[in-house]
Amino acid sequence: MLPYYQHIPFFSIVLLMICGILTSVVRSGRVALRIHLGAVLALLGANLVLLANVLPRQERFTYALGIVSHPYGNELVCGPLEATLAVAFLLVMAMSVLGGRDGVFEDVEPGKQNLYFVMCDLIMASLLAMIYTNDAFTAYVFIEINTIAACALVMAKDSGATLVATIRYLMMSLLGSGLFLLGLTFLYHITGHLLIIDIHDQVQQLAATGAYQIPLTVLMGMMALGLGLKSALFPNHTWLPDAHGSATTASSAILSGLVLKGYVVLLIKCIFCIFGEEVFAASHVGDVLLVMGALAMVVGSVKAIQETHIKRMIAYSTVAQIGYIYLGLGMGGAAAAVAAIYQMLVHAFTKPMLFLCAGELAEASGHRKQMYYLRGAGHRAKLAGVGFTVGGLSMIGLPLLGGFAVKFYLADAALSGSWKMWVALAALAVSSVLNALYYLPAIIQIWSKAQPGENLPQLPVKRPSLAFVVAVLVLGAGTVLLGVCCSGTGALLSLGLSLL
Amino acid sequence: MSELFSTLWTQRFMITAVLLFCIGAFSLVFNPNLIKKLIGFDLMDGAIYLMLTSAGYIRGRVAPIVTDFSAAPSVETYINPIPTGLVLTGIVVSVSVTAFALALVVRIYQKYHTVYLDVIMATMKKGVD
Amino acid sequence: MSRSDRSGWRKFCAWVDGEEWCAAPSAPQHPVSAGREPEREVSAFEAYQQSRRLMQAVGALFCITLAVVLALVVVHLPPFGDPANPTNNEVSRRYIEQGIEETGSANLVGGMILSYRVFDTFGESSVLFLAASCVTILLRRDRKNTTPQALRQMAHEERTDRKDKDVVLRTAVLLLMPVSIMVGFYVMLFGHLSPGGGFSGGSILGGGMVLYARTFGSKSVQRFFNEHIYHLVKVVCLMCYGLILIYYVFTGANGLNNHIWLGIPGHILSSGIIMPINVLVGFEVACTIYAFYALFSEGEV
Repeated sequence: MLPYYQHIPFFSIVLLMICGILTSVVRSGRVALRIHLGAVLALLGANLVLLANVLPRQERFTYALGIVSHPYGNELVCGPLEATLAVAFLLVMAMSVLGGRDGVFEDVEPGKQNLYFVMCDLIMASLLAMIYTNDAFTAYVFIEINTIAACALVMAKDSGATLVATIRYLMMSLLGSGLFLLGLTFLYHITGHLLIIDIHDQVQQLAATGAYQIPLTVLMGMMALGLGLKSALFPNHTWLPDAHGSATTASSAILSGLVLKGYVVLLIKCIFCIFGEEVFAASHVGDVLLVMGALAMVVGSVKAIQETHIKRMIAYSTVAQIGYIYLGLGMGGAAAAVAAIYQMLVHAFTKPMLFLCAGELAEASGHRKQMYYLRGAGHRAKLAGVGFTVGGLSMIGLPLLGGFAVKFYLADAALSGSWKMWVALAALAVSSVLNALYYLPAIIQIWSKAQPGENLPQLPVKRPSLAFVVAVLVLGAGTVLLGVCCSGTGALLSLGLSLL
Repeated sequence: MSELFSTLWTQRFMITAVLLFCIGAFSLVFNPNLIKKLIGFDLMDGAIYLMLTSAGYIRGRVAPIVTDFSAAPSVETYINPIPTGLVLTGIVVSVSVTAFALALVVRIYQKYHTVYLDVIMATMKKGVD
Repeated sequence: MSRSDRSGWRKFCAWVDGEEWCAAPSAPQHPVSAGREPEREVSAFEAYQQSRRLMQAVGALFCITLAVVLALVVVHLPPFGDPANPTNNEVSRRYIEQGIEETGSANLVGGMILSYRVFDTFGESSVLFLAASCVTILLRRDRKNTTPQALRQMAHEERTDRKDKDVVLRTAVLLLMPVSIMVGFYVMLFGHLSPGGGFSGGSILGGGMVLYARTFGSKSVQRFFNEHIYHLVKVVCLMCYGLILIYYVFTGANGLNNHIWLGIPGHILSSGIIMPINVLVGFEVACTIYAFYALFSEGEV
């Protein structure tokens, strides 16, 4: 018999899928929400137990899915890094759904609310599968599940704008998964394996002998490009502001906070587990990622400055923040990769909080999302104002908040490099200033009182619901904790990364 | 030169698949008509399945379905079953995605009375929602 | 567009594209949706055409570059049909040589995807389930996506369908229906012995149902297949599949004897979990295919 905790990854994925299937016949949206939250919170506990078990042992185990052992069937794999990511993603998922609950019940048709939570269940299942899988083709299948469910989250609001945003998102995603699958086909063709560990061994041999050099380089580029397309890496970010800006609040939080990260996790798996760091560095695909990441940091922020719609502004900020992740991945080396994963965690906590607070602020201003109408919204919805302020300051990089730790780690990792150092440092400096240029005015706007001359309607103070309070407090605590306990978390991540 | 041509001839299925993939990708990204975009997507996926199937084929061997149970099946008789299985899985995925995307196009057509994405975008910019 | 543009080549291109040769991508006139059409200005339209042409040029360039790069890759890949290719390694050897022993299925491909790679295949079934849910969100009738006009139109079509008793069509479908159901069940039940399996069998079954609904109207299908049965079949099939998967994986991972009776290879009752899964997937697919048809045409199952 295996130790009990090794079963947790498999049961987490299957339990969520079964919850999704059962939820499709539940009539009431509230029951569906309870099933979803119950499942996610239970799995959060289970994955914490898993983390507590693998961390002291420093082990990374594989779990065969079927009767036969290694290299003949599907497999899952789990180590400290995977367990940490799973715990963080489950927590953020529960809080995003909880905080955006009222918006979902308002925006989605009553008869179809249960299907919204089916999508949430399956997104979480596919994210966990992408984190835990040890089989490249399983990763592809779950990428597609993730794509369809994410598109469904965007379109759930069912207005003209969301439908068009969905189809644009879908087309880009399909191209991305097509490129990924083509890369995978080439990879299978030259290595003959689908399990990540075996592909890794074969790729190392190929790189040592120099065989199939051209296909290997091109397929690395194609898989990185495909995953980059799906995670809105510049210059393929154009679909993101529409999709994330027009969806209902919970959807925006899930999409920005988690769905994009799933693909980044897969890219990290590709770099460290499939190709191996040296082979990937030799192909110079990483340099392209670095430059694109640096450009995204600048262009996303500039676009965000021009934006007057608060949710679209936050969505453009996501483009910039994804740039930070790719900057770290492109720089190469373990320290930079740790910084990238750290950014992934910080962004996963901060961005849903920003979206939830922005939704609440807009609601307190009569459902208007233009910055102009948000003047003084912080006084009408105090907690949302505080949450938005904390999130914005973290994005700017105030010390003791998560964003600062990321910038510190990135800069620290960059200091060893060559030309990459200058690109990274310049991008970091420029983007920090630009971040301040749009988050600070937004924060000032929501806390300032209306001028006598202005013709803004008097709106009542909005009492936040308990669910919203819990969600913002948990996400805010996550942002602050990641900033304060940065050395501990960093050590955990680098331990996990070294075991990959 | 003749070597190149013989390589091209050996890899003819792959070359066809690559061309189909590019046509599909072109249509998916650059054609403004949503239905043609979807046709492009199906072409693209079909190309990948052609590529996978031809990766699994071995000259002179037959499909991996055993009919003679008297002796243990020999690897010399059958082609590689793995790519075929992957294609089976992939087809279901692309059927599902196509159905979903077509439903989306139906709704967009009901709303905007056109399937041309650039016309829709222009309409949205003018604020005629 | 001037008249001189109507050269043979462009006409030909337009014909290949399946487009009418017209300057504007004018919205097709649909009887139901002739309500409002966005106005277009001439100058905006010209700008739009120019941008579209630019787009096509950029696209063509991109496409050709991609094609060249990929062709270069393909030329360097292992040759087609060679037994010494890297893909023909110990994994495929094991699937062929020990596949029957370990899965009991004579169809080695079906045996492989439903035992060694059963987790993938469960994911694939969930994709289909997910797509059906998404289509339901989009197309099931509610106050956002239906107009009274559309409802009247549908009622009218339903009436004409009932009045129009085409003897040839009805007889042909009545003859074809049993055959399609029989073939569907055959492909499903013999999926472990011959080419076929749950998905293909289910598609044939679903196709038969669509044929029936098309001829006799979906009201007549609702006599034996309504929304409750649809949900029931779909959820029960997927749940059973999930439970089989859990049992199979749990015993497999622990190295326990799973007591699954593999039977004698080549017999109809053999191959352990593969035939049950094929049947379950087949029913799910048949339901889903019919649900796609019903949602697209009527907005309800």
